[in-house]
Amino acid sequence: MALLDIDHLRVSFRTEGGTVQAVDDVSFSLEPGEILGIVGESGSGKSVTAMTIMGLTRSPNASFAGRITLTGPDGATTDLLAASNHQLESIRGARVAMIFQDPMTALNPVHRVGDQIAEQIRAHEPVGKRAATARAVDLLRRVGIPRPDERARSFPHEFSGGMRQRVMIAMTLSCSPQVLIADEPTTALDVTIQAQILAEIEDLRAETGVGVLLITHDLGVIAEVADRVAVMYAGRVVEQGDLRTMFTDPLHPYTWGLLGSVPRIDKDRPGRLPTIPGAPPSLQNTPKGCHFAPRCPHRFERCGEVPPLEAADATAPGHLDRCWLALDTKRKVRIVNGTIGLPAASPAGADTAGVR
Amino acid sequence: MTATETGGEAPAPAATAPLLEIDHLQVLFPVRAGMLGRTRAHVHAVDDVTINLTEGETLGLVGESGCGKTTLARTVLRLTKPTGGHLRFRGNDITALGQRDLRPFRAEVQMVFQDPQASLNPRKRVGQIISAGLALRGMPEKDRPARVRELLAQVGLSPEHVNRFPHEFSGGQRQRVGVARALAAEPRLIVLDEPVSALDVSIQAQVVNLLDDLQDRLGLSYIFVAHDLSVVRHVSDRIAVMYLGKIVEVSPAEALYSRPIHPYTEALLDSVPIPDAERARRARKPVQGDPPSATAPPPGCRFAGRCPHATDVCRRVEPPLVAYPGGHLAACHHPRNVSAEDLAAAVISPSSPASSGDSLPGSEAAL
Repeated sequence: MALLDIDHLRVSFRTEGGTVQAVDDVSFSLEPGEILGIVGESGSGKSVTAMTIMGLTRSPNASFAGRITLTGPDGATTDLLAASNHQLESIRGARVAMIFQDPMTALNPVHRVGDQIAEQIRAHEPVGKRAATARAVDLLRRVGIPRPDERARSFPHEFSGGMRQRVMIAMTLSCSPQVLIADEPTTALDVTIQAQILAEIEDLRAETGVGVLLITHDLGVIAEVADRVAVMYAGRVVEQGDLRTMFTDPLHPYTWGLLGSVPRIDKDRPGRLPTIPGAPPSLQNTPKGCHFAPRCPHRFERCGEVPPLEAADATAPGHLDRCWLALDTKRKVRIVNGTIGLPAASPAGADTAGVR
Repeated sequence: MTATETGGEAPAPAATAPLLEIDHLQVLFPVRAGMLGRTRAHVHAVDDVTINLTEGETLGLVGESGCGKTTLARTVLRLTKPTGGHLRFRGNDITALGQRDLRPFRAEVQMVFQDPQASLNPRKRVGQIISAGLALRGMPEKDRPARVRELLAQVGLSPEHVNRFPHEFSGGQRQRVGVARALAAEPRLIVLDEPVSALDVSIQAQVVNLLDDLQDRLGLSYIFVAHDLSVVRHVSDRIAVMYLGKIVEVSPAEALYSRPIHPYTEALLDSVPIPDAERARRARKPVQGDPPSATAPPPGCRFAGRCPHATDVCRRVEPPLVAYPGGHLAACHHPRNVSAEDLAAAVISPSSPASSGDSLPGSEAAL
């Protein structure tokens, strides 16, 4: 049994403009000690998925379907979607912890960071204030904050962005969680600091065996630390597989487009950047069938139906994608100017042959 | 688009006079404290920076937050008044001009901001927003609507969008409106401050390509400020790396990536995650620590505290900006990736800050 299993999750919100289907049939699982990267652009549903795991999207206007199963160290399972608010309170922070993009808004500006970490410890464990504070100092030391006993008495604004993110990590560590959800943890940081924080997350995984759900829009970050990757587009997982496969043998046209449109410092620069034409669809009015079809140069009639998320190559059962194109066709058409990318337009009718 | 020798090397002939000369520019912000608001210290946002920009060139400006890249960009537009040094545009000194005298210059130099949502007036229609630039150029009112439509088409938007409000556009489209607004004044130079960092990857590429096309078509010059080293490499002819208010390295774009001379540049490049499962997972050796405070910058080299190669001299003497062959400048006592021939040909650049030392790396005095 996986540590965390998301099974056919659907999340929609009622808004004035109509129903927004933010997460549309998403399934994946996370093993202990694994870093699963979730990549997608804004509006792909990656953050809503993460927040739903934490029970942070519950509202009178939200509706949910599916199951989110968390397996405890003793083998007992809990459905986080069906859990009561009271149950969730004891799980949040203790068994599932979260790091946000902007640590300044996630920390309370009027409390000293040591007190904030101690409060978190005392919310979940019956320990005294003094003991909790001592543990907070230890945690700050562990995440690499210099002079931790002094710094525990500082306020969040007295830290730099990178140090603040370390404080957040220290806080999530306080109750030894099984699952760590990191939502764009390095997006607001400078590259040299980003490298430090990513190294910190890797060390943590190695030391504690925590399962990490790393949400990012940056394929570089994914390549550095993830073990497996799920690519999301307009509320759906469109492709999923282990890291190497996703970068060397991507099977969904959207993944090709993503890989192709990132400028790289390790390659010759192309005259023009390859792009994905158009923009992601509105989630109030998603296209029928494949959500990527309107932007896909390889679309054909069949794309009006929703493709299933399944393995295209029987020899790689862990590599799933949501696309109707035949495997051979995909491997042929994804090469643009010698690298993987999405061609601007397809030669008419050339790739509709060979449906899977 | 031509990569040229860095400014200040030699008096350039009039035909290739730089479009913009940034000459030992300094911007200090006072830090006030106490009841009387006395100035207690200064933030050295831009500290003795010299660099030129040639017509048609794209100069990339990179560095981490707080390095002064945005202040430098804003000062070039005279949105911030320099506290020292000179700014010359087409040879005219604009350092101390008043608002009225700056008018003609304002049309020549435009800016595109990071967040198109925040930089477009939400209550004005796109047509009105873009017309403002046409008015600045003195275009009669009756001619403006047609020109607005042309501009919209030029940035890849439909001319029918003229009556829409900014919120009716997606992020990428809004940034195109921002570009159209800048183009309306028919500028020669556009300062782009993180123009694509708020956009999704697939949209980033579209906007970068648009900027490329416009440059080719209109012969524009760009100052491209960004923290994303991959995007900067893609668009720039020449790149300046800033650290704590100083330029630490200037180089033609390719050479900066293949042969970084300053250890800070090397560290920056080493920190960029590469989207390639085969290449990543190298032994990462991230630079430790944070940049020091810009109110009390350390003496000597400002990177010395975090630099793995720092020695005693780095903490005492500020390294001069040294010109190596190929238009590559770097301010470091212990340059990386330079050959003995490079060192022999190296000279101290006139762009070097006044406060820096006067010995070349490798010479007796520098050791």
